[in-house]
Amino acid sequence: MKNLYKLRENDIAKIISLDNKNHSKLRLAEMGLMPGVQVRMIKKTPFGGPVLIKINNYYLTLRKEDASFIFIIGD
Amino acid sequence: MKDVLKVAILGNPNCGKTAIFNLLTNLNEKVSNYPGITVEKKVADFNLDESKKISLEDYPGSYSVVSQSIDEKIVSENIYKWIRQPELKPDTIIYVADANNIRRNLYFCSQLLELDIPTILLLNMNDLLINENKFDYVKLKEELNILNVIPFSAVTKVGLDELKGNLRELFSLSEFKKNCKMNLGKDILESIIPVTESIESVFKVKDTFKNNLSLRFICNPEHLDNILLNEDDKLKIRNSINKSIDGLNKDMKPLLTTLESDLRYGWIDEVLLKCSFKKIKVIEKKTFSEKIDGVLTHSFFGPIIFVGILYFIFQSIFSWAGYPMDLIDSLVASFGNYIYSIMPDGLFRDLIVDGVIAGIGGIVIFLPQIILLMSFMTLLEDSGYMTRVTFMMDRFMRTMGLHGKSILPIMSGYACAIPGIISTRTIDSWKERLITILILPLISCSARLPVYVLMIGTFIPETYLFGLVGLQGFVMVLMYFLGTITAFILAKIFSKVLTESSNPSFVMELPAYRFPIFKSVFRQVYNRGKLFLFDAGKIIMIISIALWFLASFPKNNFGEVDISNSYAGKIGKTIEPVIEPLGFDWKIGIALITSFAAREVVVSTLSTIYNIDNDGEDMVSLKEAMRNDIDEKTGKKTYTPLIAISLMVFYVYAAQCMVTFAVIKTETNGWKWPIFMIFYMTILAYTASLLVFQVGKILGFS
Ligand SMILES: Nc1nc2c(ncn2[C@@H]2O[C@H](COP(=O)(O)OP(=O)(O)OP(=O)(O)O)[C@@H](O)[C@H]2O)c(=O)[nH]1
Repeated sequence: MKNLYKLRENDIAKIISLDNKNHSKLRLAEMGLMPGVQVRMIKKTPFGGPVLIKINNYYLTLRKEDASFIFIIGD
Repeated sequence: MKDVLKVAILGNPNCGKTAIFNLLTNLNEKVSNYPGITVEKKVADFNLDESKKISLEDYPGSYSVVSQSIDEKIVSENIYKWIRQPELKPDTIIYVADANNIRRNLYFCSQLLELDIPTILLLNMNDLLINENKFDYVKLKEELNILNVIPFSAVTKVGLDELKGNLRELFSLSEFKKNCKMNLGKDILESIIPVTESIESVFKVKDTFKNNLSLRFICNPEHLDNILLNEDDKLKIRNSINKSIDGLNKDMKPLLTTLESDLRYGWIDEVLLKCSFKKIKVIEKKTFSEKIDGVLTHSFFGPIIFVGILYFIFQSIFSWAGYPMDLIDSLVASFGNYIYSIMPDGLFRDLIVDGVIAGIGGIVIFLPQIILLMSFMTLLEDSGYMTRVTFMMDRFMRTMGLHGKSILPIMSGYACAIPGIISTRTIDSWKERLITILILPLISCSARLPVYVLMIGTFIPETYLFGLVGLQGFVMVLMYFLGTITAFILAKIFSKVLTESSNPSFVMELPAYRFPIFKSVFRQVYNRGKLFLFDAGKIIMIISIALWFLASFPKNNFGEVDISNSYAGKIGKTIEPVIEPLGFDWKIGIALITSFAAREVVVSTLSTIYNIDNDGEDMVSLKEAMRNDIDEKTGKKTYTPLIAISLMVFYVYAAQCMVTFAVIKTETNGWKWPIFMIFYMTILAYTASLLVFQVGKILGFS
């Protein structure tokens, strides 16, 4: 399964699941990041830094650790 | 009729709560476009009309009752207090939501509705509302069964009159219809019966709220650790949770963490559907903010732009502020001389001129720089740029043992460590937060600036290095650099040796770029300036006067004072042996002691000492006096450029300004960390100064 961290800039995907290894699973769900939601990769920072994504109509930052445990499917 | 209406403003971070708080109260609160900038609840009492008193509380922004950071915890603790002691509940909640982002904003709102407090929902930022986000808000009011839903804007003041009207009516609210709440399905309810029972007995809640609260605890038992409850009650709930979870079937368990949020969003979507809300958003479209970000957060240009902005800020602080500072300097001097000429000879005149005016002059001179620095910081925060910097710098900051969110505290630290320390509350990882606090006082705050300015202006020649770089400016930059680099190195070391708990997550919302509200920028800067003038000013005044007494007595037989034999002189001489290896004499010794109150006192201390010593016609220029000071013992100049540098290095590192440590004590819950900091900073300062002076002497500098 592809994870969110692998998504290229400007590409869009749909979230399938959040793994329990994800440290901020609850917070992400509360912010509306849940299965079925469309996500666009806005910006990846170099050297494995955090990524910026867009869901619904707002922007969230995620670190690699968290983004790697969010599974997606191409749109 | 109520006498005082207690109103709480709640909502997600950065939705405009503080702006609305200001609008209602006209109080000068800090408003900014940085999530979580209100880190304590703020209370203001004001009169809506005569006899209609409102006590308004502005809470930090939260995404959920289940708190993640310290500032959210403040909100969450208050909410549980209201649940357990309903008499403490506010009479009304003004829930502020970003009109463009209503679905997510309703999440926290729906949790609050369950408390059955009369609620007014403000759809803020109406001036920025885009077409695709419009929906039937009248219908929403019916669906939630709340007091009102008002399209609002803190900029254009749309909706303000309606809000005030609603608040007026609330004084005589007779009956309150309960808010609508999410209802849980039968199957879930049956499986959580043990928890609902324990929740009912601990919180004394009933019905839907009882069920939903139970669901929250069963989904996230850790939430129990974040609320104030006695151990027996916690144990009771914990046991009931375990019992319920055992009864659940296996497939359910992995889904449990997000069960509340899944169900809640399901409920919100149902409600919004009835309000002709369009859920599907086009996320392909590049917004204006995104286009700006393409440049400002560019992997290569982004950091360069940031450094450029920093350079510009510091450059302007040092060059632009020079003009008003010179002006203030000469105004204070001529004012002092004028007072000196009109007042009758005597002790009182000396106190006013040498103690009070010299002391005040020492602070006021410093105001232009504070104002400039604060203006820049406020603009960067309010526009939304600081969150981008946080995002961009996270990788680098992590390597240094810090957190992306440490950037804002560190930058504030260049103005003053105290607001910096308080703003670390937004860092949700305790270890990184602690490290940020530990290193923050090493960042050269504006209180060090007068020390640097005085020393550099007096002792560093106005020459150019390689005919290009001004030597004075270079030394100044060097001092800032020294503090900053040491801060980062120590952060790295602390991150290796400390074993505190750390949270690897970094979930932050990036707000859209917004034009700062000019009035609120002005207010923040004004507030900070005022705070500085009066709070720091008070301390400086008291010290200046106390010092004047200590330095003016005892008088000798001729009614004159030899300052080296005064009380202050004796104190200075007592510590002289300790600081002599650093190149400091007893006069600086006195200044070092007074610096414990606030660093900037140094300048006024020295100027008081020299003015008393001079005892002449007019106020002496401190620079001249220091330059010409001759050591009685050796007959040589007392101060040299080397001593000036040694002194500046000492000020870069030394633990002074006791207020900072008092604040750290509150923020870290005890004396352990402040004492550790005083310890390490003192050693650092002493060693570094010693090295500078002794090595410098060996190398032949003077
Ligand atoms: N255009 C527009 N901007 C607004 C409005 N209300 C607030 N802002 C801006 O939005 C930003 C955030 O406002 P704040 O009042 O700090 O938000 P807050 O909810 O108090 O934020 P926290 O204290 O961080 O939770 C600031 O830059 C304000 O100038 C509005 O109605 N319209």
